[in-house]
Amino acid sequence: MDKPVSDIKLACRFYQEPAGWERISSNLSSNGWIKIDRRVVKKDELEIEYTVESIDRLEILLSLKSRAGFPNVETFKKLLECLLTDCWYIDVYYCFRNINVESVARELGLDSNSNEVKRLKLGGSEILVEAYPSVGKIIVSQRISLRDIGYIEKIYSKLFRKILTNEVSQN
Amino acid sequence: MSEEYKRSHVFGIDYGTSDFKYGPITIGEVPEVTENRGYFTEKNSIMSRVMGVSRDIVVGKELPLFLESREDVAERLVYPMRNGIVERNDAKAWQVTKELTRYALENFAPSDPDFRGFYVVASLAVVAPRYMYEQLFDIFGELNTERMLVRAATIIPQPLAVAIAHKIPTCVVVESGHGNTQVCPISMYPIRNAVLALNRGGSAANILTSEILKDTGYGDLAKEEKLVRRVKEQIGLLPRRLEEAIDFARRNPDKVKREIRIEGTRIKIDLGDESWTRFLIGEYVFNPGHEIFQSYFKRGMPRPSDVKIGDTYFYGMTDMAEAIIQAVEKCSIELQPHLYSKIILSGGNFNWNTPRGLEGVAVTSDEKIRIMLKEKGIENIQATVAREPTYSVWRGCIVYGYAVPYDFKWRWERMEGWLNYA
Repeated sequence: MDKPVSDIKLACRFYQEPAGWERISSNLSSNGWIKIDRRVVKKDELEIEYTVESIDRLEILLSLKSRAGFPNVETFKKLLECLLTDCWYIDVYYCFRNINVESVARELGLDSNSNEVKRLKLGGSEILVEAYPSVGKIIVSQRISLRDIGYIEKIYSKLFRKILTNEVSQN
Repeated sequence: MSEEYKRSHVFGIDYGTSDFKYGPITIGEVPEVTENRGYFTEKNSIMSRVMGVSRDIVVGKELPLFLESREDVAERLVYPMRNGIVERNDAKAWQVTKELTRYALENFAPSDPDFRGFYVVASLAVVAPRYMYEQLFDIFGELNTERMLVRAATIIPQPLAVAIAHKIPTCVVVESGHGNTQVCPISMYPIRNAVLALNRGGSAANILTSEILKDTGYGDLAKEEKLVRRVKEQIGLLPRRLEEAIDFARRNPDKVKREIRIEGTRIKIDLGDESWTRFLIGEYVFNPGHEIFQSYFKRGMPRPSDVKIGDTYFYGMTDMAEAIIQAVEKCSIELQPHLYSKIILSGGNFNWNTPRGLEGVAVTSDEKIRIMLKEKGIENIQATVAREPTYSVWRGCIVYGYAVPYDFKWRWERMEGWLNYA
């Protein structure tokens, strides 16, 4: 099996005032992100691609890729803090592939034969876990606002690290 | 139902002639891919009953497990599309399309009481006739009989999906998949009477690769289509100019030689002194009319032919640059320079790289198109290969579904909006 990978989507919700990619990218640029082209910025091992914004321009969808498979937690936290200076909240979707879905699902108390969904409380934050065994994917989503930033590390150590290091799958 | 629900439940389906790509917005940048085909099982046979096979049609990744003898395969394995079109009265083909659609949606439908169905964005070839839209909308409705899988659906042409994914409203999209190529000028909407279709795609290059394998002593492998495709992807090169590339290969054989191993087998392939033929594979995609290919046609390799499917002509031998010029010249003169200045190349057939040491000899698709168009007198060309071109249609579906408001109703006159099933 290839190395576990997580594709991350960030649905960033602005406050009541419409904004867009220009605002986000200029904020990121002033925080050390380098513009690669009109839709992509990069910093260290991370790359953000602007995907689309809603017609009312109150929400923007970004795609986050890490050369390492999953972002370093500290870097990821800093990125979210930076985005949250413009945004009210961010819905983060982590899609894990190249993992042993059945073991992860079992470990989390999900049915390993169906597309089960479970709401979990982890480190004070509610997350949604969806298992898709037939396509070998687990999708975890959570809503993050400034007050939830502190939970990121806990969720990482209690769940993501285990999925990514296959600790869950080897149990 | 809210806009928020819609945005997190957008589901893209790209109905490619060969590959069927699907998945929800939440899975990142790479969709699931399965072959666009179905196998009709013989449900009444005693073995089927003993083994508990209860399905009429098998689709998706499990399909190879059900294949029987070659004669049965020929009769029961159905590829529903030809050049992106499903014939109106081909009941079996529509059954396969329905089953594949169900398979895709059920793969990702969560067993969650809050799930109220997906907002499906399907993408069809730009030459797909209106009846295909109607039948597909009917299929989405029929799939809801057991549980709500499709809350609302919309259908967009594949080239438009590519333009949407790149946020370029005025451009020419050249979408080249496995079976065919569509050249589609776009100015907000596809300019339908300027669309030009070619009856060739990646499969044509596979046929040539197979001939090259036969000529170099790998005739036994040349029959295995999947293997040939892998060989093409690993050894095929796109020459900047074919004559110069062949000359370079003959003077620098070591730079062009490459041995490949087929993973999980003992098979090694090395074209040896014939390694220059690697350049033919890419050239054939762009310009099958080059005189060098005559020897292959004379020896029986099928020539991409002109065909008429429905009301659309698919040309076999027109070179890629000529096809772009013909399509653009059907548009208003004022628009033409803008179209040449934004050419987007999409689809797996444009996935060509320049290996180290072959810079200047082997090129990428955008460079090749620029050279070919320049030779035909076109200036100020800006061509780009879509990021991950194989998936750009699916990505466009996701972007479109996210952006179109949930309460924007489908209108046949404009072919846009959501057809609601709730």
